[in-house]
Amino acid sequence: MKIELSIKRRPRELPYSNIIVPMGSIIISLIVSDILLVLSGVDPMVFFIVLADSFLSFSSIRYAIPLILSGVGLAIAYKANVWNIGAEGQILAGALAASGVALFYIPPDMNPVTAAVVLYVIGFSAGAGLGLLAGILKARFNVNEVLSTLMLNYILMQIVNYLVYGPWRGVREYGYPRTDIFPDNVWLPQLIIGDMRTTVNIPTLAISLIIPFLMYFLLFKTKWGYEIRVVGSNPNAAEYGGINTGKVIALTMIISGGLAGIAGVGEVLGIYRQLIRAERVSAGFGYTAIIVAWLGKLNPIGALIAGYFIGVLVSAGYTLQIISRISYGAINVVTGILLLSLISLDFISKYKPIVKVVR
Amino acid sequence: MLELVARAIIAGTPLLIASIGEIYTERSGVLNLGLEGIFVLGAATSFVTTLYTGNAYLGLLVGGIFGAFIGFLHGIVSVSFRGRQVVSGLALTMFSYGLASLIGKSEVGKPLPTYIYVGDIWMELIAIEILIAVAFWYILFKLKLGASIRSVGDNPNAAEALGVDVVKVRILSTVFGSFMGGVAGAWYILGYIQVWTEGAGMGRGWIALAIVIVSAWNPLLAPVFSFLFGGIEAALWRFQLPPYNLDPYLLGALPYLATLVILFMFMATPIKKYFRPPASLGEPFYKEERTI
Repeated sequence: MKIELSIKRRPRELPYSNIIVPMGSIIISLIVSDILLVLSGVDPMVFFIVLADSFLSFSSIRYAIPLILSGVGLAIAYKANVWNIGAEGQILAGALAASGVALFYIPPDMNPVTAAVVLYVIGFSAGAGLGLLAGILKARFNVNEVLSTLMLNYILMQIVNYLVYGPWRGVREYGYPRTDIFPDNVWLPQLIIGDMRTTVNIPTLAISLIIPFLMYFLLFKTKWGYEIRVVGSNPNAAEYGGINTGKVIALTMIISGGLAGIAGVGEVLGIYRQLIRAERVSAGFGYTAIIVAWLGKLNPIGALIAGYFIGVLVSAGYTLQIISRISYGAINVVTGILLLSLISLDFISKYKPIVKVVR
Repeated sequence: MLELVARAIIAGTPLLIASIGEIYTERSGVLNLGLEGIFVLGAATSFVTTLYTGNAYLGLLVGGIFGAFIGFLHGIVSVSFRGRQVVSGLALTMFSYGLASLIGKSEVGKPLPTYIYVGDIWMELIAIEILIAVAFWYILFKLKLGASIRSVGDNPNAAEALGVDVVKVRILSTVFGSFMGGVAGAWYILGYIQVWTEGAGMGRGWIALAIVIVSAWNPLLAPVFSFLFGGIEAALWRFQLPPYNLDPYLLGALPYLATLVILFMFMATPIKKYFRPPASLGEPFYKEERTI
């Protein structure tokens, strides 16, 4: 007797799979992660209590902002099958460029609104430029974009650290590896509730709420968006249909890199008000944003919701680090399983496993 | 100078082990970006194992087993479930980072009771490693086993028609490559840096993935580039000291910049035509679609 396992494509996806797949993945990842946390000596309920607490905290929104911006951009790139893994470096590029301009070029009497616009544009351009570099390498020379964007992440990280330890180290910072505090006309205002100051900065929050809708429009209602979707779903059809694949690669890299760059501007001008060590500026947001894109099913509005949820998870991770011996890196267990469950459940919603017993 | 060569070999060894394993995985048509996490997980688990048992070789084995486990998950998700290989691999890298951090956290910086010491026998080490590379080349290109692996990576439909179990070969190649990745991470700790801190080994897996490309998916070329990258790493350490005193952060960017430049050189010049990836690399295999 032999058991045969085969699979068959379902005539249509399981009903409500757009909701069931992400929700199911979240539940699976939370349960598996809790088991692993218990095995490392954490009380089983602590994780869920911390998570519930984080749902209504401003720190979750603070983390959601860079995650939404980067995640929406990555969703656009992945929709075109362009594997930009470089949001981490693109966040740093935005932060680095905005910091340099804020420190050395913005006159202290410049109007804060003008300064903010200038710095957002600079940050967008820096992130987009870094993305475009990998895009050109891919479009012109077929250099694998996964590896090139990854390498650029590490390169940017080292450049930022070189600057904050070396030439840009602040004279008023007692030798700490960080630049001087930026002049206060470039500070992005933070949300103040009653007399409590939060780390949520208003302009970047507003941008992160508007961008998903703009990108949804771009992706589903414009010619560019149509081309992006065709290149992603059927590259051969795109070629015969006269779509310039190279242009689509460049465009998606500019958008995803630029949005990550804006996230970087928000971090340094809205939260730290100085450039600090690379590991703390980008803090893995660029990698976590990959999950935001997938959890949102590569839909920009989906990424907005997913970004908030992952923001909650990140915030819970930091709390967990404080109240237990677990290091923040452990949150990667949750995000890794989440992403894995997402693509596995996605498979089950599209294919039907058939078990046959053969005698 | 001789010291630098010895250091290049020692630093390049984990890269060689990881890249030979990944060559087998990719030759079967599976791209495993989980290799980066596997390397880091292999480092952490072998460190903890060696700390508790005092046996470095058991550490190597445990590192390899954890790697194989992650590779098995990658096989299930990306081969059986046809999940996108890039996404599954990245997910497993994140998961492995987290697991490594959970496993090693309470043991950070503890001194190892024993190492794998190869400082004196680096010349023998080169010979052994070249022999290993030749052996893996022979298996891949001269034996039937290697022919099956290459056939499922180049043309899985034809391979299936000739009676090769594509799914099985792909999953086993992925498990094997990941086992090697785990051993590589273990070797990185036990045979090279000899202490574990959180994040030890991060970035090496990506470099091994780049080595696979510039080695044209051929085990014979893997030692050349592994030792080259090992040499860059060893030179970095040297150039931080007097009389050079170069900035450690700028030097730290160098291996990644070199990877990018070498990738570019191989892809943008006529050499490119000798560097053909396995034809179905990254493509899921749809068996039942033929019969419908």
